[in-house]
Amino acid sequence: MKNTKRRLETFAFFDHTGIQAHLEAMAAKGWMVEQPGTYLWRYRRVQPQTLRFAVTYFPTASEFDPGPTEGQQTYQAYCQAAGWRLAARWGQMQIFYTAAQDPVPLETDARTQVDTVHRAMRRSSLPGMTAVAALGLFQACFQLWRFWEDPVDFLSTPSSLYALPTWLLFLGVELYELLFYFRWHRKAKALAEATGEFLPIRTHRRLSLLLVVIALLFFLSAFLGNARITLFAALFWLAAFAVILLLTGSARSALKGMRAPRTVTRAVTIGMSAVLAVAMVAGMTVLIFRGVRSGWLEDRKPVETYEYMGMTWEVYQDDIPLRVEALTDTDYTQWSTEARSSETVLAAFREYTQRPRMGAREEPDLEYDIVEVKAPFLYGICKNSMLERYWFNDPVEYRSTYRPIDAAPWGAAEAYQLYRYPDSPSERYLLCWPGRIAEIRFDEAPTAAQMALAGEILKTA
Amino acid sequence: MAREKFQTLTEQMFYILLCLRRECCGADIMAHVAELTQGRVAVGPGTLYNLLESFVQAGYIAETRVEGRRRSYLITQAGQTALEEEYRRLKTLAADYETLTGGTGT
Repeated sequence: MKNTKRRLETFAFFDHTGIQAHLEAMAAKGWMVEQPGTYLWRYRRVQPQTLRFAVTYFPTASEFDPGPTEGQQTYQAYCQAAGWRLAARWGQMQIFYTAAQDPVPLETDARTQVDTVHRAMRRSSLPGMTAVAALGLFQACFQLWRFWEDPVDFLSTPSSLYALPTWLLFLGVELYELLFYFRWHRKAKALAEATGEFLPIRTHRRLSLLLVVIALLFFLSAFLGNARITLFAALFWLAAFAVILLLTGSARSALKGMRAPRTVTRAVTIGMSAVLAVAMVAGMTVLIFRGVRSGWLEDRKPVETYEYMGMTWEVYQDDIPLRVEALTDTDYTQWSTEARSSETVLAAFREYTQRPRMGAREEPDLEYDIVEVKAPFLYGICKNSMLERYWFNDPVEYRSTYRPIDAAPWGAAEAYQLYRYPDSPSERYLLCWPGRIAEIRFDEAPTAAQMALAGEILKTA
Repeated sequence: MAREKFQTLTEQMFYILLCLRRECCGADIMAHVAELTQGRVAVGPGTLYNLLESFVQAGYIAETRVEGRRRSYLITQAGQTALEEEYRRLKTLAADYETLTGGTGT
């Protein structure tokens, strides 16, 4: 039978009413809190008993303190004199309990209690919550900027699309807790002044947990559908984050065990976190370079390689829907065909190329991309983005532009041809159907038969 | 807690200052207040600690002795003034009440 257990707890730091009720229920089941934490709380087995718990805050304490401060020890002595025993401490949080039926409460002056909670929050949770909210806001804005810059890439890339709701949810959770807290503080202060009563805090713990779970699901979705290299980076970061937490936590515990001063423990913990973060970034960069070079981070392996002009070239044989052989008469067989795709619930982007080997330059290249827009309201944004795809490299006066052409030969709803500056048509075409946009590049002007065949295949591929 | 927050004293603040007109150990104040008010007012240990800290910061009381965990305090002139102001405020409230009701409560 295990005598200790750890539970995932999602209490807001200031939710002392919720924490007290939870600890009383745990004690009734035979579990006494031993060590609270950010998420994981440790409990030890005791005889099931009816206990009263009180969660209080000690604003000047810090999680970097080597032990209870003089003030905390005095506080504990007062509590002991009133029949309250210390159960656990965590930073500024102190948890006391008593078996007395009708004990004098730890806090009997609402004004002082509200002021103490607020001073503790100002020194600990509020700066952290504000920082996370600011990070969430920055990330959400960054993702929206990416959507603005390249909507097709954003909407079809899981790591981009699902990152937006992930960060918005984290932002929402933090903003909700911040607003909840300030609203409580305003009301509690007024009530304490007016009536001398303390307004209990009770956060919506299940709602916060639900939002965090949804955010994590989006986070996982963001990486599961991605290329192997993105998945590797995500898993590496998760592992790195866990390692940093574990190492800095161990270092902090060791320094506290050695009774190091608060400033030393804090400086070492922060310094170590920064150094480890830099080391992890360097390590990930090296691993990704090596992984790409050795091929183990590639989703597709080349079927063979060959040497040309002193360089190694890779040959792929991916399935592609439209091939050069279908468009022209050729007996060339040594093609390299590549297909890449990324897809989300809103859009899919598929890139296809067919190239002869280097040295066989007389054979034509074929390149085409297909955008599938699953949400009709996003179609216009994606089409405009594809039409403006070649603008960004050039100043306005030298931009290449797509101009409308007759769509009938392609069997498309709309068709466009790219014109290079100043007025030269290229063999790059954009074809539109409801819910689908395709771009295709030929080496030479396509014939009517080639247009019809390309349109027919790209419409359904 | 800054001094302006003591413009009006709560019951706990009032009785702690009142007890400290004589040098008293922090832990004993809880018992003294309960005795003085015949159990009507209770000062919890958390409230006691926080108020003693705040009163020291505001200059209303001064630490006089430290014997291990036992810290003794005594009210200062500023604390005495605050206590008297609160007493006068309460007396004014009571006088206004009596003026309006004749002390009968009706």
